[in-house]
Amino acid sequence: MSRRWVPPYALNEPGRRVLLLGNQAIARGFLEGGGQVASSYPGTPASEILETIADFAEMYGIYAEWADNERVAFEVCSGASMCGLRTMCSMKHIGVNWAMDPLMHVVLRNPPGGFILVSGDDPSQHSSANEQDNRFLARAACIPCFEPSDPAEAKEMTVKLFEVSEAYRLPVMLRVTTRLCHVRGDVVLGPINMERRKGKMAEDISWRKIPRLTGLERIPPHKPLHDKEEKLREAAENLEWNRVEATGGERLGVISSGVSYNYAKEAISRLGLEGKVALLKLGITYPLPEKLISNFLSGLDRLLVVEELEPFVELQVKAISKEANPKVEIYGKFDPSRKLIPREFELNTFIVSNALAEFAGVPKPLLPRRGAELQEIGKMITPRGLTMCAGCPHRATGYALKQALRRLKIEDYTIIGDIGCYGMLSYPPLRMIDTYLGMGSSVGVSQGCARATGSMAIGIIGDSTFLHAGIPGLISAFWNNTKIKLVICDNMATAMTGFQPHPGTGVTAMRKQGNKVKIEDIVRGIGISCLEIIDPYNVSDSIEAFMRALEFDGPAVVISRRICATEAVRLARRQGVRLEPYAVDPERCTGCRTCINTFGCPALVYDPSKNKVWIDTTLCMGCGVCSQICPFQAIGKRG
Amino acid sequence: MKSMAQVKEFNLIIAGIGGQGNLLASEIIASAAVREGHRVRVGETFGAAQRGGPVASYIRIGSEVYSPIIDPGRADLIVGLEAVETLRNAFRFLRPGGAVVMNTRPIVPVEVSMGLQKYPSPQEIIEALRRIGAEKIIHFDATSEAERLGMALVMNMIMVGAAAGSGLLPISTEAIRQVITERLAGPLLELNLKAFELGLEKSRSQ
Repeated sequence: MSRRWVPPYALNEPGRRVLLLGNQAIARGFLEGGGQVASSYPGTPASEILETIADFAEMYGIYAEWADNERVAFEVCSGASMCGLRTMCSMKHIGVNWAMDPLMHVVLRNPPGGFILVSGDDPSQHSSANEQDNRFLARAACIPCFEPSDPAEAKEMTVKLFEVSEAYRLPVMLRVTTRLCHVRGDVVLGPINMERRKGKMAEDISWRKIPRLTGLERIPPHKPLHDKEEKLREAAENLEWNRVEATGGERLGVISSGVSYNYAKEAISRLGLEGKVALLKLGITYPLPEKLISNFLSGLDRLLVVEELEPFVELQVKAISKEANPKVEIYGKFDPSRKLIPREFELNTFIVSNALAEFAGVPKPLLPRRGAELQEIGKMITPRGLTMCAGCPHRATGYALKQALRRLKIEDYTIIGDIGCYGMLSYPPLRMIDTYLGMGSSVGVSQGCARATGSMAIGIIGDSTFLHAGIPGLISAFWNNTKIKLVICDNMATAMTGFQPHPGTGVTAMRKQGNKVKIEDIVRGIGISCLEIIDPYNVSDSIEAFMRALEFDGPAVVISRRICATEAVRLARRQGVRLEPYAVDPERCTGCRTCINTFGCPALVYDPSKNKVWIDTTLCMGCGVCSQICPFQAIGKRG
Repeated sequence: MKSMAQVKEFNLIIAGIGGQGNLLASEIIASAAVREGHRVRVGETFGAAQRGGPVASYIRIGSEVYSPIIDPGRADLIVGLEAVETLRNAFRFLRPGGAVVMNTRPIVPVEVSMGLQKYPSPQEIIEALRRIGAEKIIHFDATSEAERLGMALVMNMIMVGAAAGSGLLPISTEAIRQVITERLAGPLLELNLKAFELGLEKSRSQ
């Protein structure tokens, strides 16, 4: 199929100015920097990096893949780097938790190929279950940490970081945040590096090629790593991405890094403090350029540190100030009496302006609207949370499970969710999840609950999440005969992060046919004997299957299989198939709202003036589940 | 039309709910701005991929723009793809004297149908927008217009047209038209261009 439109990130037109998403700019940096292997697991806000690389991979002779989880992705990149190729491993912040194990080892191996680990941190947890500052993980692994401030700088850094990584034979972290990943900005395209190396395990690191040392003669493995860190600390002094801006009257100074630099810069100009407040922008936050910072501190009375999430730079600067200028007062997030910036949630110019105004002793910027009358308007704005889509198979799965529990009169139960759209089964009207932790946790946590309570414990997990992290937990449950019930919601996609394929789909990131992993084969292979496979759109059969699994004396699995509704709509549109929406017969509808109060599809809308329910045809995709739930058979196909 | 040298800071929010085509609408307007030589920053809500949650794109155009987020009370124009989402964003972000282009069609949260929350009427929303300080309010049921064109999905392109038709964007209508033509090349181009022109007309006639 010929491409009609070449996306700007794939153009071979050096010098052209285009609009790129931060993640696309990083992918473009990979291309311009001669990257050859990219592996990742989807996770917001970092998913589009690998998606973009995969999109142009074939065009430019690159290999890009989704791995089964972040640890595997990181290991794939480690192998490529040790074989001399330039490689990038991108993931969301908590993905790095999974990659920490191989990371702590590969830093000791002197991998020769440029190796960039991209960590997408998510301040304000826009699409995460926690906030986490991965600069601490870079520090724990003794690898340098770079923070770009906008898409253009992200691309530039990526290109150069391959060289930095190769010079030190050490992976480097590119730490980005949501407001870099998901920001579009103007970027000038550079030339594409078409050097394609042939990989080979580097001779100077292969244990087959170097004499093996016995235990007693071993060089302390961390010594060379610590020496690299010292050299990086010196090299940080001359990095182009660190710069002192807005020097001036200088009793007051601001240090900022990453996207926070933009807020600091706007705040200084908005408050008219140019020439009164000096600004140091840092592009590297570990190890810090100590001399540059010492010089910056030397003339100051007071310093404000502006950074996303934890006071990472602030604490290091505090240590540097002990020698450089012990009298400087450091404001930021740490010291309770000098805390001007909240440690939680993402920053913006307004927050930073307020902090800077207090810091500099000038009037704070005011919000334009105040007063009681406007509070009334605030109250009339309907709250709107996240919700599962109309036709979502997870909603139908949750409904059937709840009905099965009710029919069996099981009232004492615990339900542990997992990371994915089905986590929203915790919202009204179903409200059926007690809690969840990270990826795969439904399987292990439910076992702890089963042991602790002695009563029914159920885990609900998605297909991609099960394959990522759920399998060892299920093995453990079978081995120990812990009688959990595991519901695997198989919607045939990694839906929440944007419909990436996974091993159960058999399609690869580069849209090639790979091999398909069958979840039921894994479950049976473990030895689980009670396995039910249902179509959640068939309500009565699903309820009965759940009842059998709940009554089984041992660990049981229900695979609820139905393609993601959003994906189904997209496929139908592509194939020119019309999905017939359902309609409510107003003659039969009694206004009882059973459909809304027990099921709650957003396409079902109640009209209080008529005491009837109607179906919003712009949302309904024709799953038909509500028609099976209505006690008065008032819902059917239109016409 | 403002010339590019004059634009220091123009702030536009496109607000709606997931699945309404927010991202494409903002990409098209921002690409047109880049094409005309502006400095551009767009902060997107990707959030979770599923439909139904509130989303907003912050589009900032101008020589003094650094942050990708628009601060409270600093939006010059709000383009709302859904009624309550328009009000939610206008309440927090619209500057006094700013403008609103709104699709009046509501998408009602489940909690409203369950009787746990209330959803205001279009009249109440328009009145509230006035009280907030919106000087110019362009409003119509863009979803119905899109359905009449044969596809509810092109509502976003009607709203891009309506934004252009307001005369407030610091970019030319022709640049937007060109970006749509390139970006949406394919079987749906004609329909999207029709939607854009329809929005343009709707907006200009109000």
